[in-house]
Amino acid sequence: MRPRIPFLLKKDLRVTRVFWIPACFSFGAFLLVFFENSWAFLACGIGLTVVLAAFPMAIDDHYRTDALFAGLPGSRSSLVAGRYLSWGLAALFGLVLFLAAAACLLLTFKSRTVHLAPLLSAKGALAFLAGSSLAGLAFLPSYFRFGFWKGLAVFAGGSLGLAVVLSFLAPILAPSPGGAATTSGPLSATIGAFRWLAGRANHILRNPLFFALTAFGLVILILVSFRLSLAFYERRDL
Amino acid sequence: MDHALEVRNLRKRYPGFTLKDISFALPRGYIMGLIGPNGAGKTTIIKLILNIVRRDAGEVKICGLDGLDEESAAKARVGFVLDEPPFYGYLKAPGMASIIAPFYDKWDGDLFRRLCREFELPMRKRVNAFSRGMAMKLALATALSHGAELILLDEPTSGLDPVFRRELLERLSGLIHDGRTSVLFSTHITSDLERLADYLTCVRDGELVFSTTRDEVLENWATVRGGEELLTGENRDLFTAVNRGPYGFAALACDKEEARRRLAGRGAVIDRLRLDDLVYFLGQKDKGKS
Repeated sequence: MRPRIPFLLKKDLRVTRVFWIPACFSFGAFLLVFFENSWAFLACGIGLTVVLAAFPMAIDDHYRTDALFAGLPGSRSSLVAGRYLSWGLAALFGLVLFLAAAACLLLTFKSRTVHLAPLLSAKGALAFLAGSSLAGLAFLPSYFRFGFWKGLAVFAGGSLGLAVVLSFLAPILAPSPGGAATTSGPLSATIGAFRWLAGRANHILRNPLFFALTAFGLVILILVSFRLSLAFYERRDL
Repeated sequence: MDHALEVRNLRKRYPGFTLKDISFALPRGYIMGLIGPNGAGKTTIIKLILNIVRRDAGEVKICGLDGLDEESAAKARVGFVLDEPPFYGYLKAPGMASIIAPFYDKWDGDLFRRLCREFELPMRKRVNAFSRGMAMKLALATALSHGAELILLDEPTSGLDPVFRRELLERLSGLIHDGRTSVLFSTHITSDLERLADYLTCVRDGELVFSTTRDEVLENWATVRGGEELLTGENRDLFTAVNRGPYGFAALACDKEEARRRLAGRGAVIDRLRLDDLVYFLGQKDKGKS
């Protein structure tokens, strides 16, 4: 029996093919709106990649084709693995679009977009991939447990909740945004705290040991997410 | 006997519905009809065989292969048509086939194209512009294009015009002539089965009523009509289902000879069973019972 996962990947590429060009245009258009701020630019790129990666699942949900693929030769585990690989592929495709958009903006607007230059680096690419992968690792178990729309709602609700909690925690964890808080208000304090935390993370990850530990943590996260998805999907009636 | 499909003690519980310990076997080279009223569990059984729905208990063997432990190998031998063919609406028939084909080692592209031509399927039209009948034909073409040994069909004739329905039945009948292909076929158009099925499996409310040869059903079962006075306690056990009306009763008896022995000469009319009547009675179980 031939391995089934490549066919599932090919299927995702085939069914999304008609949307590739519109996706490229929307990517460019949205990133053009957010290029003034490198953080917003990065977040927008990750958000668009999540949309791109979730697209095959939305199509399968719309046409109810999950039952068809569950009936074809293969197992549920290959369906789950196919989704993870498809997400990874979409993250890489999103990264290419993101870097291309950043490079185009830098070449076109030069001094106005100089703050985007650090994103065009291995570190920028890693940050982008980490963000889009973490989103996938959180979304996919929810998708396999609840289906597409309910899963998306749970994922969005969870992400929002986490963002709110982090917004409260960040100023507490950061030692010196207090000045900003008193002069520019709590929002600036939170943003300042996030920047400080990101700077600290950047500093810590320069240490090869911490980098290796973070990479190991990511691998554990992938395994946990995959096992959860598999457990949910094995039990699900399609 | 060599079986294409063996189902043993299959169980599935949903809120408000339970499929209870369904067991039947389909010998290789035969056609089995799966009948029962709406909501009896026919579609659930087919989805359980394909593992689209997960079973709570029981065992399924396809051509001797375990449906769970040897899932891929077992499914490679199955062609299936679901009651709502799930296709990407914006693709055309060849595009849909190009997605399904790689999953089967024995996919025959020439056969698929030939079947599409025979079924008069438009190859340049998107699937979402297909009528239900055309979508069903496309599903059939994909199910028949990889040399499946077991064909599972869930209401395949619904939505088809009578001419194509007849052609399809003849095709299914032709399929089993090789002695290795078998068909399990759920339908509410029971006249199709009277013409075609070698075996019948009947379910009602998630329970198996019988699974046997068509001839045995048609020989042993009967419909009985008569006055209310015949529905005495001792006769009541003759009937699987009773429908009472203002002018007496009509009932389904599973032992025609016993019914004849007990009721002949007492004003009862005992008729040969038609499968339509069978499904009707099972769906109307004890309607009007006082």
